[in-house]
Amino acid sequence: MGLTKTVCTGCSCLCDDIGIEREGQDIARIENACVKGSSIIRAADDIPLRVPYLIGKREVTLEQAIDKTAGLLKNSKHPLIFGFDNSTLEAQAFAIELARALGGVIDDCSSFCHGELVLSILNGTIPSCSLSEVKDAEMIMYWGANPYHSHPRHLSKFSYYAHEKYNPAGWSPDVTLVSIEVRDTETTFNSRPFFKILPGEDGKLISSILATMKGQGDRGDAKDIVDLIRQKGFCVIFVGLGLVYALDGDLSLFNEMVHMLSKETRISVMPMVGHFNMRGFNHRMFQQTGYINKVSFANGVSHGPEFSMLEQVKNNDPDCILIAGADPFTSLPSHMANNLKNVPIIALDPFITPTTQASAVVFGTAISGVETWGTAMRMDGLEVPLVPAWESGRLSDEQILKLLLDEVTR
Amino acid sequence: MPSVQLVIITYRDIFHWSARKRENIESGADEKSALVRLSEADLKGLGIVDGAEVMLSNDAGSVIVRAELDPDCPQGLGYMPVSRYSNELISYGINEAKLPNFKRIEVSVEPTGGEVKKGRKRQSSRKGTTDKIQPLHVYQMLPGTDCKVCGCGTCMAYAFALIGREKVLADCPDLQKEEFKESLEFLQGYFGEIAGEVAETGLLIDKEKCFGCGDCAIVCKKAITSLVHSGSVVQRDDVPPVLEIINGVVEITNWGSCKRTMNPPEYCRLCEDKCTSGALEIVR
Repeated sequence: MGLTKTVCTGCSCLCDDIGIEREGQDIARIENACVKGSSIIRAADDIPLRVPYLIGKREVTLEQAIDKTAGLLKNSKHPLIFGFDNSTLEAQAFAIELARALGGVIDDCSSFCHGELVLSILNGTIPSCSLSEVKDAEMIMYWGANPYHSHPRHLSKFSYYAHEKYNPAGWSPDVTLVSIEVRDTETTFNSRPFFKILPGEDGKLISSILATMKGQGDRGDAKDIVDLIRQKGFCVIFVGLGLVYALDGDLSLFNEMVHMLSKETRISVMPMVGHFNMRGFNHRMFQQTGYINKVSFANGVSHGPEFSMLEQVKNNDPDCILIAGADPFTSLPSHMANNLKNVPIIALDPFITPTTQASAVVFGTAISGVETWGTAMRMDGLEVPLVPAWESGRLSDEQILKLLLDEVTR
Repeated sequence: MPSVQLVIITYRDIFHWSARKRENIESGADEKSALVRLSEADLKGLGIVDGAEVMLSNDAGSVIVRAELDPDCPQGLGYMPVSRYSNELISYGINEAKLPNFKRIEVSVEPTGGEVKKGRKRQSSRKGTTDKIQPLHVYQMLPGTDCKVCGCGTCMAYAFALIGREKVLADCPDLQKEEFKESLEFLQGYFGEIAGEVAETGLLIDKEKCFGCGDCAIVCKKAITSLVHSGSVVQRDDVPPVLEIINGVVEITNWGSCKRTMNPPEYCRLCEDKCTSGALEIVR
């Protein structure tokens, strides 16, 4: 069989040059995909990893699972719909519609991740650009991010090495790679210069940068950063979770810094979004509700920190949770899982995860992009059509949500 | 019992992530995730060696993980991959923070006195110059008898042959003796159990270290189009790529395109220089 071109949904780079060659039912060769991408594509063939439709660990038919779920959702007074960061834009649209029909709360991982930054970009507070524009940048900065472990092909496909002016000999580089990090990583190894800071010091560094710009700062590294940025015509800052958590999610100081720097040179900021379609969820929610996450449809559209998944679970608010395209049991503090013990969970996931193991109803879905059609949003906000490498016959998140929505609104 | 206060910084580990996808839930990924990387001073403070078991605990919970020496880690800090182990220690809502403290976890560390497990260090945080062994360093560990049993004229020649993966550790009879046990263990740790076979290319690829990031492939692709011949640059167009990313790791697909195979050869080392994971090594 020949090579099928597909889009990798391992991370939000959404690399569109992936080739998959199949021999019968087996994957013979995967071209261009990194370790992360190829392991998700290979896992598609790994039967013990995939989940069927389950009710309380018992295998059931699709109809039974839909009936049970619709019953749970209809009887729920405070349903929470969470995730969809690893689902297509189409599935996200149905999820929002379902939350609206149920009068429930909807949230995703961005509420404890890059949400604030995506919002700042969406409402125009800070400037951003597309990944294709990064190839014109004179300085590429990774702040609190190590793309080699989160987005392995980021440097080679979109930023530093993909840069038009990148010269392999590197005698007089036209593009500078800069890192601000708390520890030595693969990214900092290649960065010239690399600013090493203490954990949690990011806020102080930003304050010093602001002070330096006003001619008052006393920090050497802040002065170097400002000098470097002033020399360059176009700087792109890739923000990782390191910076977001160091600032405790409050990006006002960072936004002020970007705003100040923008007066002197061109600055663009891009979040290093982890899940492949988290930005898509934020955009879709923003279009439909005016907020990017943490929305309740119980009384019209309301938004607030109390509707974040973390707060909801902490306060034991939801009496039924629908999770898709996310694995909160792996990514959240373990003690919070205790709060979920008595809440029925409905999970949509292609693979067995700690979340599906703790769920009352499980829908084994197709892997978005590898096995289903759809659209996803790259980290820079570009909509990328997903092309399945093969069709497995499993239903996508979108199809299952549509069936659920029909059942709930009937 | 000695105890040390640490601030844990969590980080993403791609190998842990892909192991989770490969080996069902956490079973296979456990080895990669149940560890904390500490400074030498903190290991000494705890009175333990590299690979010993430690218990990390705070108000949120406690976990038992393996302590690993990280020369880059400063005293008072610890690095831990994001996993169910690090999640046990994360709190939310205790202080008035908006987010759980994923990146700065205060813990106290105590040795458990459990079994010391020392794995081959595959996941160094970055490639450093110290990672790569030099022939003289190997030579210092060899018997130095120049016995010629291995087929090399001198022990120094054997050291070069070892690095070029032309000989294996078993070729040296004296090295197997009790007095060289320490040297042999170190060399086995570096070269692996079977002191590798390397293709004719002299390019050694450690597929377990490779991220498949493609940095080597793209710099090579940009570099192979121009050759420097006696001071002038010769452009070569339509050369098939030397390196490609196949099945998630780098593979040599068209060795004939490499500048090292030209006549006269150009000893380019860009792929090795740009490989941050240390997966790619030019051994001869």
